[in-house]
Amino acid sequence: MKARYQNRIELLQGTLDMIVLQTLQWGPQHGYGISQAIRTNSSEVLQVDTGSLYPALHRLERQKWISSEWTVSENNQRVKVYRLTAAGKKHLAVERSRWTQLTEAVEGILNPARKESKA
Amino acid sequence: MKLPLWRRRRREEELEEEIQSHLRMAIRDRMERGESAEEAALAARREFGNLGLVKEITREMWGYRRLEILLQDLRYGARMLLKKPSFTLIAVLTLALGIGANTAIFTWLKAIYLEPLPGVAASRHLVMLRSTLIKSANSPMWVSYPNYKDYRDRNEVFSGLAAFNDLTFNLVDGKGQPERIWGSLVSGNYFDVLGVRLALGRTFTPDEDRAPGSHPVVVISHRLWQRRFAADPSLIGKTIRLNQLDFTVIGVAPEGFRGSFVGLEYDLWALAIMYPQVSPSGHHLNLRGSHHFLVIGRLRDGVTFEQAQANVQTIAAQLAKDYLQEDEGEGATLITPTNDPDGAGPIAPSLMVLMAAAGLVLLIACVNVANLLLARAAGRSREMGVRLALGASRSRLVRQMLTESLLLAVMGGAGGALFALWLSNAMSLMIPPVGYPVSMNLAWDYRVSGFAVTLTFLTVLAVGLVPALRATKVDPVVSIKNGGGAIGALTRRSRLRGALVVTQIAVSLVSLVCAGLFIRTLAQQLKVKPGFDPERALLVSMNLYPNGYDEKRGTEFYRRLLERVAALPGVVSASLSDKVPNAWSGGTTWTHEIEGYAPRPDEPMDINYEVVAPRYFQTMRIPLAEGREFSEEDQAHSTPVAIVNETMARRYWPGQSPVGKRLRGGGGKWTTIIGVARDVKHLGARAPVQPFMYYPLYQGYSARITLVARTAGDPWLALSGVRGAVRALDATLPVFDEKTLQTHSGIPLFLDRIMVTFLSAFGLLALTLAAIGLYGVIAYSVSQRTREIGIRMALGARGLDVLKQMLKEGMVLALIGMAIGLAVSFALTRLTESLLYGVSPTDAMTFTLVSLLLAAIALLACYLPARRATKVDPMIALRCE
Repeated sequence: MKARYQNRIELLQGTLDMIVLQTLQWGPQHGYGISQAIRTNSSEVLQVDTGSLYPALHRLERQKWISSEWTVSENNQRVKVYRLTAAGKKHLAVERSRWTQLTEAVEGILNPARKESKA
Repeated sequence: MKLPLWRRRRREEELEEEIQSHLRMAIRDRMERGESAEEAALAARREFGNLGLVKEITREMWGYRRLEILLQDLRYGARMLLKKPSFTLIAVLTLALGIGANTAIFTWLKAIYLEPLPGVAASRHLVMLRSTLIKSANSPMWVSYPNYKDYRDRNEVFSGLAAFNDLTFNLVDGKGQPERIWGSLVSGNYFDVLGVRLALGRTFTPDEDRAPGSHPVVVISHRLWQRRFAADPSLIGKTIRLNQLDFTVIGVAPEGFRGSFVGLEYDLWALAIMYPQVSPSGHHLNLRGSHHFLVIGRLRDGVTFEQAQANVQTIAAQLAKDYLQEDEGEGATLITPTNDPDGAGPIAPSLMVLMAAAGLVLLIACVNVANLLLARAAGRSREMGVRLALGASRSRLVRQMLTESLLLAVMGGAGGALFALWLSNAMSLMIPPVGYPVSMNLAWDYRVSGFAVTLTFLTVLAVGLVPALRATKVDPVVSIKNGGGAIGALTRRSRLRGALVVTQIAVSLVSLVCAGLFIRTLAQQLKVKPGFDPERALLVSMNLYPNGYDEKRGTEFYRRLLERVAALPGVVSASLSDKVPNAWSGGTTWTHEIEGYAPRPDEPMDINYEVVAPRYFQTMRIPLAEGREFSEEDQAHSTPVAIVNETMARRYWPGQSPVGKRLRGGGGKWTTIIGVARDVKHLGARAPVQPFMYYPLYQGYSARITLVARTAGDPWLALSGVRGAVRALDATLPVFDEKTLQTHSGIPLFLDRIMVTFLSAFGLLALTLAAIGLYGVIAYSVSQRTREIGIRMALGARGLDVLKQMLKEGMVLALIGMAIGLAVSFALTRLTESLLYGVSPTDAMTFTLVSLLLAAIALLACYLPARRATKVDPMIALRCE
């Protein structure tokens, strides 16, 4: 039981952090908003498990990459809104370049022929 | 990062609110898409996932989860334990007994091994130097002071070598009555060699150590300083009167320092060169042939024990050549202080056996508690299944169950600490009045605490781990559906419980065999007749020397004292001896020359003797085989006479009567033998009887004397009369070591009694625990198989068949355990061989009786629950599931 949750968290850990930071780049957002944004922006492919999202948000906050504050939403609801910090922006840049490297490398392994034709 | 409590509470609320707002938004979105309110709420919840888990994992992000989990587990554990108070009580008591017994015995072992000489610096570098007789296997002797000085000056292996002995002083000054104080005469470098820094004042100066008899200076113990002198710092420089001599107090030893005999405690230290001034034996100070001192040395850095041994042996060989007359045939040997026979060290092997037995008890206790936990775990598999299904991780559950074991063990450890304090006290109360200042440092210190805590935590693992792993290995679906464990898990668990019970039975058999062997050892020794009648006789000791008596006045004192005591009502007869049989020490030895007997060149002619007053044999009821006993007429100016024991008569005058034959001891006057006494077990039942002699007190004065009063009734009733008689003759003479002859003659057996008491207690405890364990397994098996039994009985099986089957199940376990236990016992008991007497370590009778006892108890433990199986009503059994 536990194993299933753990795998999911571990699999997504670095990636999810990056996605969350990326989502917050467009402006402050609450947890539900973030999950909706990810879903929409990935054309519904990625459905973020809330079981991972909230721990990730709290983890990022502890790392001081995002900050949070309570505000009142358009529907007059008290919501907790997360905002990207300067440190978070820097971290996002690092993560992105690492991600690009990783995907290119994986791509290279998966499709060696294309690499040859390029050369 | 840990958050303070109030911020934590706040966080918790925020998280809750954040999740609620998430759900609200999700529901609203869904409703806008046209779902009904209920549908939306359900879908949102489902989509969100496991609420509790999300919260828990998120909380873990905050960093203080671990502490919180521990607190939670402790609370939960405490609740679980309180729910089953009888289970908790049994488990805690069991563990307390196990941990307590081990800790108590560790306290003793610590006192002997880890801190043999309290207050002494780096005692592991200290060794005792003793003289030996090369041609004799006798235990090593003390060292003469002249030889000590040669060893001190000639050796290349010690950074310092000191001499000391023991002596009693009569102290009059300070608070309280005149008192006999144990002290030690020491070489001037004594405190330096031991590395002892005085609490007050100074130690001896080289000058003081040089001029014999001219420096009556003394260092007193911290204890004596406080007790008798109210810890007065101005005592330094003042004089106190000891043995009729004024001594200047120059220092106070540090608190905790007890001198240099392991397990004994001394209160005064004066210079060895004052020996002639304070003791009637003082003239031996400068006699090279008089072994009156013990020698202790500190090994130089880098010198090994073997190198030092070789060096002192070389010096001994030189001394034997240089002083042919005194030192010929003598060697030297080194012993660690712990192993020195003149201390508490020799009881260490017995303590080791007790420690092993206590260890076995703890092992059984652990197995028992583990077994109880396992049984309980079976009942909790549903709970575990539910919690696993709710997303608890297995490690989380294991941790939680271990926390429960921890609670049990900590309570057991605390109980054990109390039990240990009581037990180690009880053990010191079992030390008989041996006539020496026995005192061990049994104080509870960091080592004892460390031991107890380590033991407690090992217990947690031993007790909790297996049940915890077992209990959490459940399939949630199966366990929730069945309400019990899966069949596979069930058989696995009962097989494990069976293995635990087998272990318990094996271990309890081993400890019972040990107890049995020691019971037989004690019984064999009690069967040995001591050679005198120990019943109804009182012993009272005194020392005339410190009160200034010389031989003439002392002898007069003795005559008048015996007259008075013999006239007391209730006293049948009375006599005096310098050393009543079964004394703890080997006694006084002289090298004897026997007229008409030519010893072999390597034959030792050292014969122990006792100096006694008239009517001694009558009073002690030692029968005479021949001749007469000493009378008032055997006195200073009459013919020197002696009495020998039968062993001596047989050895030196085989086939003829020794009466009328002559011998002489220590190169003195020729002495005529006037009688042969039946053998007396002077050193207890274990030691074989050696040639032994008696000299008349009125011809061979001794200032240190023990009065023996044979009484018609209770010996204690004569005590006040005896004290009155002494007081009437000398009001300032302290009497000490008052005891019955029975107690005194039991001294050599005290260790055996302790062994029997403790091993029996441990053995019975082990047996009880094993029986409980076996009972539990069978009772559980019966309860699990009610349905099966019901079917069999419905099909016509008789109650007896069912009973037989259940008994067989239990007895198979018991017999396997016993077989293993017997094998282990055969292998292990020989380690105790040197402690046994009159019984072989594989004594068939002990092994058989213990096996029968265990089998009978096992049968009973199986029968009680098995009988319940026969009462199963098939109809009810079949219906109930």
